[in-house]
Amino acid sequence: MSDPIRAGARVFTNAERQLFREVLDVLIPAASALPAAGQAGVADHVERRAEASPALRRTLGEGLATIAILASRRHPGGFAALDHGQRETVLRSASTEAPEAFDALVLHAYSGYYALPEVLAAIGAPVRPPQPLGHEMAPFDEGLLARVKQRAPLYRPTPPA
Amino acid sequence: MPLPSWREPVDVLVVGAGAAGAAFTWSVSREGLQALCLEQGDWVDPASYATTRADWEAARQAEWHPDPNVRRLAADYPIQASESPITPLMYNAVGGSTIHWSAHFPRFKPSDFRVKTLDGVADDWPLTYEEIEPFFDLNDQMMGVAGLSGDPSYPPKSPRPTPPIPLGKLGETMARGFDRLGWHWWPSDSAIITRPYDGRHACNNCGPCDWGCPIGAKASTDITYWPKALASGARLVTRARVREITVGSDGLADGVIFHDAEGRVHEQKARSVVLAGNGIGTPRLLLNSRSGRFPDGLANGNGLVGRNLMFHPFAGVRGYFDEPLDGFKGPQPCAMISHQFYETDLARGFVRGYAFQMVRGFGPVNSALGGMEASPIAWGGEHHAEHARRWNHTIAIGVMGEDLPEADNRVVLDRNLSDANGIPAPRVIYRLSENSRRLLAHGIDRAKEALQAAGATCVDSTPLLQTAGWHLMGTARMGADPSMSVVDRYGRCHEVPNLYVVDGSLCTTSAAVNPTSTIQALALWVAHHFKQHVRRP
Repeated sequence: MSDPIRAGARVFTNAERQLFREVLDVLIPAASALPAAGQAGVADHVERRAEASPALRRTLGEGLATIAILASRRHPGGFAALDHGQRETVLRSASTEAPEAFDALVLHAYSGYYALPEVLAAIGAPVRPPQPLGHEMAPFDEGLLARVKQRAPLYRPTPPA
Repeated sequence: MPLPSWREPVDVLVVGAGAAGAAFTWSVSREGLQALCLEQGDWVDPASYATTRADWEAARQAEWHPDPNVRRLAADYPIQASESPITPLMYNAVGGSTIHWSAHFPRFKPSDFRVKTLDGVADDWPLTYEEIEPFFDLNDQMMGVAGLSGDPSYPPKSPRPTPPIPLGKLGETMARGFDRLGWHWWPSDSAIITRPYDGRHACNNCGPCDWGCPIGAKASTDITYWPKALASGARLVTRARVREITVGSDGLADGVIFHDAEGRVHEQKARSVVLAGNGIGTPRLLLNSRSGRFPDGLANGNGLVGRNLMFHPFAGVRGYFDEPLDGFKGPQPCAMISHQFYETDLARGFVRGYAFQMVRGFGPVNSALGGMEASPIAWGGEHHAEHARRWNHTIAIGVMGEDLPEADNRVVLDRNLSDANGIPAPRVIYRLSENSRRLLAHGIDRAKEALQAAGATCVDSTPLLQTAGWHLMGTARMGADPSMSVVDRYGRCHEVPNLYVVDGSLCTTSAAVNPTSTIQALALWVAHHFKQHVRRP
């Protein structure tokens, strides 16, 4: 069965896709049990969303283009040739030069990352969607209301006509 | 060229199949009246709801976004809202916004209907809590409600159809905070069933109610009222967008002109017309229904159609706790309420009041994006530590204030924007009042106090949520004086006595609680009197 998070889509060019993976690794880096977003395949998730939305495709493309231009000004080898600190600097510049596009990159990066099973498991979240299983919970304990029940009415009644 | 007549005249034509339109249609159809409802949206298959998908949270940023300007589905129409700090939200489908509402189901209180008499502001309603109480009860039975009677912030209520939704660890933590302060709290009335009811499954505490409930535990009118209304003989036509209400030579409404799914134009005649298009859609339709006799729009001789728009100004306050709270378990928005500061106390520096709504934890994505409009967690090296501090460690309190009616807050027609059928779109003009600012500031301080009493180690707040315009009220207000209102106490337009309004537009004031329970009770009240007064052929 195909993985719905990583299911492939093809709206980015190879260059865009490679750049996006590198950007994702800076946005959400690896930490202990948590993978970096680019290495974990989040770009595929975002590309799938972009496939369903031409407007999102344009927005993300604009963001990636801005990042590529800013990176090329620092090094002819582009983003891939920068060290980590330089990459962060480029992304901070992109966030001010193309804020709408950059915010969209971050939003969709987060949306994809926190749907990955290995990420959900690492943070202690259920590794499944909310339905159909739901969650077991103890029923409401009316005894908790003992104090509130002693209160005089708080509401104001309808005044006489 | 005359438009083709699509069907024979009906007794009553209802525009909109959401919360109020469904309740009204059910009520009149069971009395044998011919009821036809036109709905611009379609049926939504519960199997399509995102909560069964691994990327369920992402859907909230796209096809399940509450803002139609973002969602842009075929059923939606654009809204120009750049002149409002609060974005209007809605869903267009059979069931309307009940498809992805949170199902808070409190009632307005007795004082809410008498604000002028009690507090000297706004206007009294032309009816009382006691008059519509039987319709609250009827609506509770039809929708299915979880809750507990005995709340001292309300008059005694009938037994709730099912027990309260569970508090969970998060709710019990917050209850201890309120108890330490000696403040009121109570489990919310929610239009969610905790036991099997009326052929529907009980809630399984999955969490995100506002993504749609695929098991039918949350009440939406596509699964509550509509099956019963259709069984009673009502007819429902979907993807039918009403363009204007037509008027006969006698000045009465005699039908509507609407577009079908392919954009074709039809005319449908009716002996009465009932509007249930919400507080934006209804004034839009009235203002678009111009004629020589009604040059400023139908029922708008006094210029009040579209005016007195009320939202509920909403502040978000978050508390962060050291211990995990299991906040992903249980109906996300509905743990409990506090009405400690609901009624007027002028010593607080404002008139009227506000309610607290406790919100369970946000999902992992929404936690990263901020949740209740906090700043998103920063990207980069500190991201994971901050996410760990927030996810499953947050309690949010919504401060929902009463919005007093002001004539300058209004819905008008936009000169440049129209929908896919070329119908002029609504433009929302809204300014937050000084009373609302003071009210929210007070509420934020008190909410922080409550969260700290519950054990929060850190608190923060958003002074006014932008994406919070769920509650759309006041734009065809109810009143006894025809010069000061659009409809009378039976929802009947003063100027066009066979034209009715049953949605939030008719609210004279907004109260400080979610309005759907009251709007539906009013729709049933209007239907009750409609049936008594309408003349059948």
